[in-house]
Amino acid sequence: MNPNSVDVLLVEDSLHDAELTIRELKKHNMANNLFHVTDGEAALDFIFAMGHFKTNRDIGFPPKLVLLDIQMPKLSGIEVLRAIKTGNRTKLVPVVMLTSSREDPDIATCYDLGANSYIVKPVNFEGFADAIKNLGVYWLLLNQPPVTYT
Amino acid sequence: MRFVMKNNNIQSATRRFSLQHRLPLWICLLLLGTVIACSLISYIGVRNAALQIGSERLMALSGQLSSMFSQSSQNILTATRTAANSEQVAQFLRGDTTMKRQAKAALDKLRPDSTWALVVLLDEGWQPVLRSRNDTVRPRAGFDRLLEQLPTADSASMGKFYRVEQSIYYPVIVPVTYKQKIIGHLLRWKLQTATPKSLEQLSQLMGTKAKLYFGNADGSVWTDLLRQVSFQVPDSTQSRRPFQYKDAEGKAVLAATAPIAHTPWVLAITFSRQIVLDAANRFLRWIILVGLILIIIGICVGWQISRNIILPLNRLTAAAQAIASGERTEPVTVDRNDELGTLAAAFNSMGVQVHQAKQDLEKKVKDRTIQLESANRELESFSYSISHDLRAPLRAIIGFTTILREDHTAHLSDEAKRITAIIKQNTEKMGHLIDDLLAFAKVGRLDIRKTHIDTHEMVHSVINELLPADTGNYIDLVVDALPPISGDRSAIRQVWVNLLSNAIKYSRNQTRQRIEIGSYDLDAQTVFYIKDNGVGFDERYKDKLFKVFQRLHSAQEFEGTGIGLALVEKIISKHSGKVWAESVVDKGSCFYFSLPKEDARAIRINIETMNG
Repeated sequence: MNPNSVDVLLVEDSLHDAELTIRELKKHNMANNLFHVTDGEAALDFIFAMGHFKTNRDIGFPPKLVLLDIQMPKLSGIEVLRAIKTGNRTKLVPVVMLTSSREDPDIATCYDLGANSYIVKPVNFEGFADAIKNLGVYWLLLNQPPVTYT
Repeated sequence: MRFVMKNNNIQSATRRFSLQHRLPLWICLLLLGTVIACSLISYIGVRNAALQIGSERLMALSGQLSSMFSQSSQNILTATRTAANSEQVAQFLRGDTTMKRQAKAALDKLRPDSTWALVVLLDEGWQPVLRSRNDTVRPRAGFDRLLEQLPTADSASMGKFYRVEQSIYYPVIVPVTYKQKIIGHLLRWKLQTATPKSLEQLSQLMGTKAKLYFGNADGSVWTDLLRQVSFQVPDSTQSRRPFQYKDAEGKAVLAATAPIAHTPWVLAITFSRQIVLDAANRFLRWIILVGLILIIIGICVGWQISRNIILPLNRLTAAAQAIASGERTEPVTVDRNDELGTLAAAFNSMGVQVHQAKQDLEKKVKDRTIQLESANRELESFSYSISHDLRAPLRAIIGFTTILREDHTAHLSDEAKRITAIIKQNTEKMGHLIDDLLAFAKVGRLDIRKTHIDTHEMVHSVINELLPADTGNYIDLVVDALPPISGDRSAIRQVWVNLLSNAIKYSRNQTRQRIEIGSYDLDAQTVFYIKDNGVGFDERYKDKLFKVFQRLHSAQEFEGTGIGLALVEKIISKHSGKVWAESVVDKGSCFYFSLPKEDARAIRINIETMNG
């Protein structure tokens, strides 16, 4: 896959959650250009074309959507979000925060930092599947991204 | 009634004075009363004594003067009698005209000074036969009138006073006898007068402002020895006792009369009452002066005493107020060994104690707050971890079980499908349990933010949410008018949701579901109730009703986690209310909860906040 034509960047440490997410997006034909990283550091490397992606990525081609889990080892989702939203060339990238908990004290922080959505992953599968499908439809098909990056 | 009110007014008026003013005021009033009473009593005593002394002196003086004048009139009579019985006079009266010159000389001798106005010799028929020279009686008409007054006494006597023009005269009559036989009378007229010098002597004898009067015993003529005066003895029977009297000038006088023996005269002495009472009045002035000085001293002493009490009291009050308003104060210095000093010392040690206690308390509260905050933070992160970390595996279980059923359905036997369904169902239940448990824990930490709640509107909105109009389930729903209350909006809404959904759930097997919602007042609380005709519960277990995870029905019969009523209980008790329930198995149950009545003040504050 060409790392410069990624539609969805999934940042998720739980492989099972990732699998369920990808399956659901695939079901609706929205996972063709999906790239999955399992921690915050890799996510930042990808977005800012650094480290492992230094040679094969151009920062001028960001993903259309970043699905960002909050609870992750090393760099948390909040820190990744802050980096994206403060980066001059990345601040317009839509970021949807994913969390397992309604009790998360960081909802307000996420919106403060410029998160575009905040989704609580339902426990039951039907709910979860619906949420992922709706997300994909909305951000990849309905939403018109800013013109600055194409 | 009016008197009582007035009395109260007086009391409140005195109370309005501070202690510092009240003490001198009372001392002043007390001294004033004492001084007035003492002055009055002693003044009356002194005055009566003065009057008594004056009266006694008056009596003594009048007696003395009376006997003195009586003596002098006796002397006059004796002298006159001697002259009357001289040989020349007798011979002349017997007709010896040669003796006329000698007789006349004898008569002239009876006029030793000009106050002796006239001497007349009368014959047996009381006709004047010889008289002395008459050049001293002025005017002439007065002399003629003296001649016309012919006394008729046979024995030697002093006559009554007669007024002639401006002068007062009295006669002295003695019979002229020859061989024991009265052959005529000798009559002398004397002007009743005194020289200013002799009057002054008399005055000195009697005392200042004393006056001497002479008069006839029948009260007809009175003289002060210079001219005729009007003088009245008020009652002749009292004439031997002093009496009070207003003289011609309107001045009060003390008077006494005394008859002069051997004469038809009375003498009267008057003392000016003012002079008699002079000593008493001087005494009164003195006592008033002394009283005033005493009162002034009393006020000063009272002021000083009250100041001595009030100043330390004021300092203590200020310090107490400072402590009351939470300030730290310096110890109050009251350098004395009396009760106030003890009070100040006690107060100071109390202040220290209070300060110490306050500091201890503050420190304790601070420590506890820190502990609580950290516990709270721990609990929050604990809740968060539970919800996050417990939910993630559950999602995976459900997710992959679903994938198994969907993607590999061809490889699964019916039994395997049934088992995957059970796995999924139980995992979902686990998810609900976690959610409810978290909700319950959250209510425990909930800060109640009271606002005005329109109960009626809230209940209807909950009903609409739980029973959408198109469900087709027919329920008899009776909702009374429900009073507004104040409470935490979302928490109270949760209470209604839980209780109503329970009522719906546990009555759903009835052919005709019936739910009643109403309220009534109980003391200062409003009690709401939700009554259903459902399966009810055994009242023996009602203690367990409101406990977490305690259920009286199996999950097969009625789904649920056992959190709902525990949540209700927690929310209501956080609102200072109570929850209870009554039930008959298979007949239905009734759940009650009480909340404090909304007070008007809270509503007003809410309205102000909303307007503000």
